[in-house]
Amino acid sequence: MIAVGDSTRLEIIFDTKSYTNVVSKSPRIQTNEGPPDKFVRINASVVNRPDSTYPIVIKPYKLDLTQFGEKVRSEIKFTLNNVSQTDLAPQLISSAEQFFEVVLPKVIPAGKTAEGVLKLRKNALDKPFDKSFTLQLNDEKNSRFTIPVKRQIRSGAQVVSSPAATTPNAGGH
Amino acid sequence: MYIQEPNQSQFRAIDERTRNGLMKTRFMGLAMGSALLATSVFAAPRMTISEAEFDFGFVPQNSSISHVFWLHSKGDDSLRIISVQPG
Repeated sequence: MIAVGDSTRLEIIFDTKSYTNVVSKSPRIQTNEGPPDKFVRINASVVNRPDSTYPIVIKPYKLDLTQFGEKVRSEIKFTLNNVSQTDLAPQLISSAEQFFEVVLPKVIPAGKTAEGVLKLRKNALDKPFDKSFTLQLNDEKNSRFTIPVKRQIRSGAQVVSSPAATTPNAGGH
Repeated sequence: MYIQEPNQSQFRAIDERTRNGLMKTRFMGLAMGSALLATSVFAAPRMTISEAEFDFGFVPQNSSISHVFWLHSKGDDSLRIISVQPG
């Protein structure tokens, strides 16, 4: 129950599987407000060749912070290569802030590569998860890129996977 | 000390005032009851979503991505999420 004036978060998890091109999903929310039900909508342009994106190419395009053994992996770097003719300023628009902090370069000069860093929060060091963050560029299309971030904790032969989604999986099964 | 007894017409006037007072009380009670009934009958939950659509942009295949939507309870009664079904 959500009291009058309160809010709650609804996390939508989307498994891109082997989709290609533009994919839209509209999870349905049923409440005691009665019909008609309400919807949220997500859109994604699924690419099978991450090095073919424009105007930037991100490497690696999937960030894996899986920890092997005792050595703590608390951060990972990635590069953003501006393959366009104009300088670009990336802006973070969605992130799993309770798990990590993302530091983006202020500007990626045309034709150059800049570096970004993802730093795990202290309280997330012992947690496996599957999350992502989304950045938006200031180009004509306001292009967006979503980078998946995965963390498992392996101690010896044992693997601790991320907990089963408690929120609906928009990928559907 | 002399106390004047009310005469017949004065008794009638007092009786009228009492009756009017009772009527007013009854009317006020009825109005309050109606208001309460209206509140309970017409109180309704209402959900608003601050940003109902999200564009992930480019995403790689075979990966799990997520986004958080915020649902707000803006009605006169508590909101209950009954179910969320994948689209």
